[in-house]
Amino acid sequence: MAAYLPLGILLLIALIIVPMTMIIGRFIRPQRFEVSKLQPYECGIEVTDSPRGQMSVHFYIVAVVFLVFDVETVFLFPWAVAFDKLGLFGFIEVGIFLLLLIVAYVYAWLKGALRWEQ
Amino acid sequence: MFSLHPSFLHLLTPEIALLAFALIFLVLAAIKGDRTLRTGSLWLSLLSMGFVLFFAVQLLFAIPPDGQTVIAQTVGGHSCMVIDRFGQIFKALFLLGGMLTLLLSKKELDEENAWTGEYFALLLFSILGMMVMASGTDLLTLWVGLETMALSVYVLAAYLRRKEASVEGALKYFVLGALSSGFYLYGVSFIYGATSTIHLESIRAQLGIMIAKGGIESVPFHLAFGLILLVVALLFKIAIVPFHFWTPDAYEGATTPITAFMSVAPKAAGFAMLSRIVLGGLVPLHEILVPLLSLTALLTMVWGNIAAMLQGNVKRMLAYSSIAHAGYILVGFIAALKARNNEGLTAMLFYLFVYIFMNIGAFGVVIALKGNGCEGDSMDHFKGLFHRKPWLAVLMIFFLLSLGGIPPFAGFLGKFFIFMAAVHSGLWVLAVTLAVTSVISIYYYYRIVCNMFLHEAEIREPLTGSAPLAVALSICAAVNLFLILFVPKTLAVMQMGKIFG
Repeated sequence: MAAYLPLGILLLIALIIVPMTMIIGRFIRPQRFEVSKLQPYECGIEVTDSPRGQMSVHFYIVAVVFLVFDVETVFLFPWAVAFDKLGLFGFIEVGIFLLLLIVAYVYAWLKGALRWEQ
Repeated sequence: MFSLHPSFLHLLTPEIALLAFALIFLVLAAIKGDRTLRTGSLWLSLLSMGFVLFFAVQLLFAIPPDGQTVIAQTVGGHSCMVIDRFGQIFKALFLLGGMLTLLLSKKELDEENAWTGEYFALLLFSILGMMVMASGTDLLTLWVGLETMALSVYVLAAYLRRKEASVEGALKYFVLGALSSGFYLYGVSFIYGATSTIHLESIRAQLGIMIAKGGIESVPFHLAFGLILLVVALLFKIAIVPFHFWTPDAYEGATTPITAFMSVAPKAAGFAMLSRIVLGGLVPLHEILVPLLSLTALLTMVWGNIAAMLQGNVKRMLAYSSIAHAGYILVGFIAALKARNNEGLTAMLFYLFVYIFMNIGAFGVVIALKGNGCEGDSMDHFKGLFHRKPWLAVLMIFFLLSLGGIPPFAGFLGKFFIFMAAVHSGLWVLAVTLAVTSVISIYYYYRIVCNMFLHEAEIREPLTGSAPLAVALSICAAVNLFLILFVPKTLAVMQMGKIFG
């Protein structure tokens, strides 16, 4: 338990510092509000429209397909590093893993997840 | 490093076969499109589940009585997955539930015009997850199984995606399910921090040493915190009061065969995982866990039955009744934990077996009533059923009396064994609550019987029949009626599932 003490102290300091800087800043800074100051900051350009727009669902599907490959790399990397220690068993294991991912990918492909224009 | 014994690979046949079938169905669904296969994929998936069930049952009898074959282990000989009779019985139960669900599905999918191949692939994947939950012996293997099951069931709960109720229920289920998964992992991180292991066997040994040295007070706070988080996450999954809030909405919104499935198979899987974790790893803590679980079981039985009385929707009523039944099953589990013998486990397995047939039967009648724009899930839809379809009404009576625990039916036997296990381990309060709340439950089951026999029918259109549904209902009714003749045999099979040596 004592080993975690520094971690606890760090957490405590983090919890104190952030509100403290905000409170101190509130009292020190000059407070003169104008219309242009209260507007959302957009690189100095005048605001054109609301940030809440609708995005095509398609972006999410593409993100999920990306995830398939991302996960693949994450697991292939350590396997490649330890390849000579794992031997044939590891090779077969990764083969099964890849097969599962490829089936998922083929499913997404056949379902038209990669077709941008419907 | 991780190793798997190739010579034991045949013990994994059910899991491997199920995974292969699920992948084939997924690709078939994509190639063939949604509409072309229809009933074809239903019969194929029924066949593949039957095939897997055959292997699982064969293995159950092939494994030596007290044998535990460690299928996979990490360095140091810690097991991640074992094949034993206890897990094998659970696997057979999941497959039975899945097969009955498939038989119920045809009519519902016809009525909703919602045939897709993914429905069947997801059912297979969820059962695969449950099988891992029944066999895992370390906290993360169990978690992978839990998530495989849960993610598939979330999607199945939202299957009728154009219906608001379905999406709402599924979203509640998803949010609370994800929260409980978070609880689980948070708990695992504390346990790992305190014991530097995730293997239940080592956790049990370390807890045993701690408690033998300095009593229950010597368990450090952060370890106890992690263990409680773990148990809470599992109680979420089996919908024990006060962690039951997602159940009524998810059950009401989901398409009825999936509701039947959710009330039976994932619940059994939750109990399998609870047994693996608590009886395999946390047994030394029984002094704390017995009162804690007893309190939740008590609340579950009382509140589940009281809330069920207030419902006007039959699916919602059955949802609360399934909460109450989870409470009864938990009593069997607590009896096993307190006495540390197999009697409570046998009672729990027996009840789960019986529960599949009574609950799927009751939901099957709801599906039989559906059609001509009538959902079939309101109390009013049952009015005058005896005059419209006498046999259907009689079957419903079998299921309801069995759920209520009236003597000649199977449900009574299940309750009787749990009651006896509770009495033998000295859990008098729970045993009495079980008996009293069962009497209360007869009131709301009787409301449906009353509507079926004593009221005039409001809807007079003939019901559309469905052969697979009729088969499923006949099987369920036959088990409920005639199980009493086969009690010693059934009990002998259930007694094969041991955890305590």
